[in-house]
Amino acid sequence: MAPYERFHMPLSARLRELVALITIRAWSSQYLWYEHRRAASQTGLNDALINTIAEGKRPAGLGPDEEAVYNFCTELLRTTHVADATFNAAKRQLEERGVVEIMGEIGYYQTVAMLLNVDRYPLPSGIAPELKQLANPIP
Amino acid sequence: MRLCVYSVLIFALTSSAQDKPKLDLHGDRFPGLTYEQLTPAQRPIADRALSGRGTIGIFNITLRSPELSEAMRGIFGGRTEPLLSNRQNELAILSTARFWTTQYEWAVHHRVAAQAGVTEDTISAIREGRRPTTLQPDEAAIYNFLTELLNTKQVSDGAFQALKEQLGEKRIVDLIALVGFYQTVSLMMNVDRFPLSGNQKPELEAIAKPLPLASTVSFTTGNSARFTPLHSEEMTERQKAFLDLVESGKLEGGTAGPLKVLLRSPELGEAILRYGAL
Repeated sequence: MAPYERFHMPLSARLRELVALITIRAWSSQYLWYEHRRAASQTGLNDALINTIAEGKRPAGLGPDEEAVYNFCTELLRTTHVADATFNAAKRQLEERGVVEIMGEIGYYQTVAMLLNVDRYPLPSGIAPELKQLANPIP
Repeated sequence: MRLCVYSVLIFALTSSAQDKPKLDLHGDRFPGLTYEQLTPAQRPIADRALSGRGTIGIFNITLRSPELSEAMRGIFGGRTEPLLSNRQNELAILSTARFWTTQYEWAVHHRVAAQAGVTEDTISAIREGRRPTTLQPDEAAIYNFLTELLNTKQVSDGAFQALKEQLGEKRIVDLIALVGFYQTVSLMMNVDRFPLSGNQKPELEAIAKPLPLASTVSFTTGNSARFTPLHSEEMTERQKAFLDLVESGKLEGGTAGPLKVLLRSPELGEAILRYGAL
């Protein structure tokens, strides 16, 4: 069996959590949101930003790297493609390698969200679901 | 016979000794990498691909991040036995490629699907964004499940039950893993605008609802979990080994939440938890 060594990807923990939150919000996956919102806050994403994503609103006042990631992820998840300007902004901030890692994160969280949503995986008792059903959760 | 094997072996040895490794990689926004451009971290991954099954479409993209290449191989690759039938697999892949409007996946897989027994009627309907009308019962269950899941991000009780009757719970998890992989491939290819080969023309038009829902879907408001918890007496040795591994704490940082679901497919479960610990 392969050893379970940890890999380290250069995409920062803060940006990885931002990608996770956007993908989780796109899938309205209550359990993953519950698991990730605390982790996201610990990586340095501010609580106002996290709450805005939970409410399905477009956050204001993002840093340049956060804004490039937000636009890239939301455009890809809403329309299945990205415009040149969006791609180039993400590449400028994160280089090709960072863009590829964002895509890997989205792919991973989509897969886990599908498993949990199909199951209707329950929240721990006493925890209320935080994500409302919205027509467009990632504007 | 033996002579023939030897001559193939000698040919393989001499040709690998003479030729420099040749990577034939293509892309658009991610330009095709050459072997000479690769970093020491990327080279072993390319060498393994060149000496094994070759490079698949997204290799040029994922190689940008050697860590991600390895992790994706763990999650999605390295499986030997087919989990669903080829026909079921290909129907799921075509549906996913149509939802994402991924021209390259469609170009490759509509032929494979026809060979695997998906009918031309079904392939044309999916290409044109119509609901196919002549599906076999297992195909209808897969198609309905995927149209609901991809469009609405959830599935109705009716769609879940119909699929469970056709495939059983384990293969529902395998189907989701397959779709998860092809969604990842699709989004990477779409971002890259991965080029079609030679003189192929794109066959998928951009349409608003490429994978239409049935008009009759009714989503129940129930919120109880659907996969039934497994008791230890019901588990296979492979499932017990997976559970032992999780309980040993060697998968640090992994998402333990969906364990009950992942236990249906322990190979996938291990890989997912491993990726979660990245």
